[in-house]
Amino acid sequence: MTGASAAAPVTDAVVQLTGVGRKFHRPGGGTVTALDGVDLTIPRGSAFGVVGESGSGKTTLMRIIAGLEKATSGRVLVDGTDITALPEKRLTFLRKTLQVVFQDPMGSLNPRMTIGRIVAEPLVVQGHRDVSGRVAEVLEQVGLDATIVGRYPHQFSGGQRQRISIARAIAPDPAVLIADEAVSALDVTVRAQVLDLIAEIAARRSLTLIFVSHDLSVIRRVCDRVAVLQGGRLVETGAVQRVYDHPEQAYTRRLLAAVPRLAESLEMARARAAGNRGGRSTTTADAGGNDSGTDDSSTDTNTEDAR
Amino acid sequence: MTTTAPQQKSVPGPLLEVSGLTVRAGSSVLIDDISLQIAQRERVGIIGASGSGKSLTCMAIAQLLPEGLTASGSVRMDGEDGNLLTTPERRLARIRGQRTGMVFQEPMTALNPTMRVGRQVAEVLRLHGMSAGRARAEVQDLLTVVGLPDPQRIAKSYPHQLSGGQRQRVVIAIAMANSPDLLICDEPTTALDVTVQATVLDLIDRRAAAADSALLFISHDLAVVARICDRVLVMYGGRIVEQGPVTEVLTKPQHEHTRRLLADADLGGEQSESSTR
Amino acid sequence: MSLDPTARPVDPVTAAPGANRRGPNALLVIGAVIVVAVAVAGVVSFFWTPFDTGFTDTANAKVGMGVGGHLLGTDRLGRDIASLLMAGAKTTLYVGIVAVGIAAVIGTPLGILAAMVPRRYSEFLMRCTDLLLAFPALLLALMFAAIWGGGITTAMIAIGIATIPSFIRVVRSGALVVLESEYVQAARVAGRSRLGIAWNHVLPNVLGLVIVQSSVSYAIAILAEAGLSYLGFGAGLTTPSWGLMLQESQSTLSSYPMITVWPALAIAIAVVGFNLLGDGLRDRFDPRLAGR
Repeated sequence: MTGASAAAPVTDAVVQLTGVGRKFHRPGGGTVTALDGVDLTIPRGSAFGVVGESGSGKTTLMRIIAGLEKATSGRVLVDGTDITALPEKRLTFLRKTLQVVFQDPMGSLNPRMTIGRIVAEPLVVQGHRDVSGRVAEVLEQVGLDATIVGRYPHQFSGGQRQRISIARAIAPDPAVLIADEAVSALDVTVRAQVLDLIAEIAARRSLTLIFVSHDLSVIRRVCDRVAVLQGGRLVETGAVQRVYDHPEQAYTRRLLAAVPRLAESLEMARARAAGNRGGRSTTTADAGGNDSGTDDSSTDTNTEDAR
Repeated sequence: MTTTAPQQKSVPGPLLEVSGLTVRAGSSVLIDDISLQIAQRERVGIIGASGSGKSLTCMAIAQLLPEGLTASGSVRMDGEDGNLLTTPERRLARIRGQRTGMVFQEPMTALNPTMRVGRQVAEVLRLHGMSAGRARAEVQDLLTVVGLPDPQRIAKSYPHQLSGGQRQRVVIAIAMANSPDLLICDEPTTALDVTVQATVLDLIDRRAAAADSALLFISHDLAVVARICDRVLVMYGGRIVEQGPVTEVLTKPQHEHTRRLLADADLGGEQSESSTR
Repeated sequence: MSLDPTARPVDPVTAAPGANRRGPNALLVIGAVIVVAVAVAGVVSFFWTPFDTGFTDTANAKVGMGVGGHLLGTDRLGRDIASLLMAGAKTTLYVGIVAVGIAAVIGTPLGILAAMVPRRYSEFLMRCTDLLLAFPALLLALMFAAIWGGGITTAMIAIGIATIPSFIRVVRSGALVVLESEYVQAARVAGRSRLGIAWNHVLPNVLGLVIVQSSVSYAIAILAEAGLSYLGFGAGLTTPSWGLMLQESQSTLSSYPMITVWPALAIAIAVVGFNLLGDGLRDRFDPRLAGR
């Protein structure tokens, strides 16, 4: 339907979604549509960004691709295998092919396991040999010392924990790496480092990287293609450069315009300083209460972990 | 430049004067001897990495430090006698509601989950001497002013029935209910979506201008600070390492840490937002 | 160790104040001291008591504190009350350990199961739990005693079974929180089976709750045992038990009240001790595990 997927002929798709939808039953009756008829092709070896605001369905999409949730309609192919109806027990191949780096550096590591056990988990489960050697190897690849295996997650900073999480994900040598808001919870000062680490690892191992984020600048930094989701629908897909420079859809334009840019903000600050403040307050178009219109979809901020 | 707003004195002294503020947790020093001034209607931003002490500074000024932390130094407000750090809680309560307003990062925790939104707004008005009838009418106005659609319905809703952006608007309505002289915002848009963030920032901008409020605005997002503030303080390790007009500090940073903040924030030619916890 | 600025644990606002830093609170310490004292008394009574619990000092029956070398006096048969209390502590511990053990060993896995199985099964399990919860431990023990005859083992099993529901509930709610966590999602992505997740991730993270629930249940078990023994469905006449002491002292209640007071005091203190310990442990474990 949408998207300029015809622009570049897809040579080899590692993930292919056709008409994927996901409905949830509300406890009190009724259904919520989290995803609706999404067609998406993720080329092998690409760095693919999925961007959307809360309630856009980006997390549901990621969970469906990762086999953590089932689509209620449509078809999901990962590496040529249809996983749409496969029960979790039969997803062994997917667990070897695809790994995930989660959002919360506090919550994605079991507080009662040592770093060694955490990173070894996928290896042990999948029956690898020389687990400890491999653990040391991937820890070094993410810039951590292999001697930390005996320590516990709470002894590390957020950035370090996210590195541990990355080490666990790349340990079984997957072909696809999903990063689910992997740097959103990090402090600005470490975000760039971790982001670069993910991009570098993906490039070095020629992984397919699927980066899910609400943050457009994060996607821009690491991805070459991007899909924009809104309210469970795919709004636009294309090369990052094209979508950011020439967005085709109104929503994409609105999303891009909403990101505060330092240069613009400084321009406004200068104007305020020169004009002694006054009538210069309403510069950003309020677009008529669009806030209530778009982010009303009940899921909203609940996707963030509320402590 | 002098004032027309009712509560203000005609002497253009600083609205808020903080000097030698130090915050300790036991023996460790978290905020180290910082001093700052905020003029009437001035908008001051604080930037810094997490752990730099920017939130703590805010809480110390608002007398809302968590248990176990102690503040020393002085915080003075124009028109209030004495050091606010040693002012009894009862008088602080009045100052908080009437002369300062606060907006925090997480709107859900700032609102009482078991009370209807309208009552929560009305309560602030009534605490400061408004009759029940007038407060009820005023609530509708306030909710309309902060851009909430269908204020009657919103007033009857509970916080969880609203979206994040709507909740933050309610918090702003409460904070601005008594047209405070100082509005303190601690990462007010960090938990919100980008498109919502833009409108909420705009709201803070407009409401503060309309009420002649000064702003103390904390954010890790430099573009957001530049968008709202005139002057910016850069914090690092519990100290202010640099300050000046936003246009100066963010274009010609002097301190090495400010430079790093600018470099780290620049992910690819543009700013971005994220949530730090 | 690195440049990572978040490494500095400076911001105590976001760092959940108090959870780890604060020392053990006073009530927790008092609770622990009482529990340890009861345990020591019970253990020591295996090897030594001031007097043999079977020895009836007929010359000094029903005497008060200190008379004839009896620290707390004697009961109506002239047995040393201090010795009986120590031996009774042994029974109390035994009953508690076995009853709580039964409840924890059965209740914990069932609680985890209830959190992991599809909704319709867990609903069924929880309704069964409610049904069991409707039977007070005492009533269940009386039923068991009616069927299999009284005795301390029957009492323990009954108390244990009656305590299972509270474990299921507590463990289930804790497990639900753990199952939502990203590390469980990560384990699923790693390919862990459900059993593997339950064992490696859920169980270690609900153990804190199990410990807390155990100490609270222990207090209830002590009371139930005392009640049953008092009614004659618990410890046999040859087994020293605080409940039994209460019952035997009934006939002398008005003339020699102290014979009743001592075992009553022992029960009260032990119950308070276990409750304090439970509450204190809950305060220490809860913020870390769930943060609900």
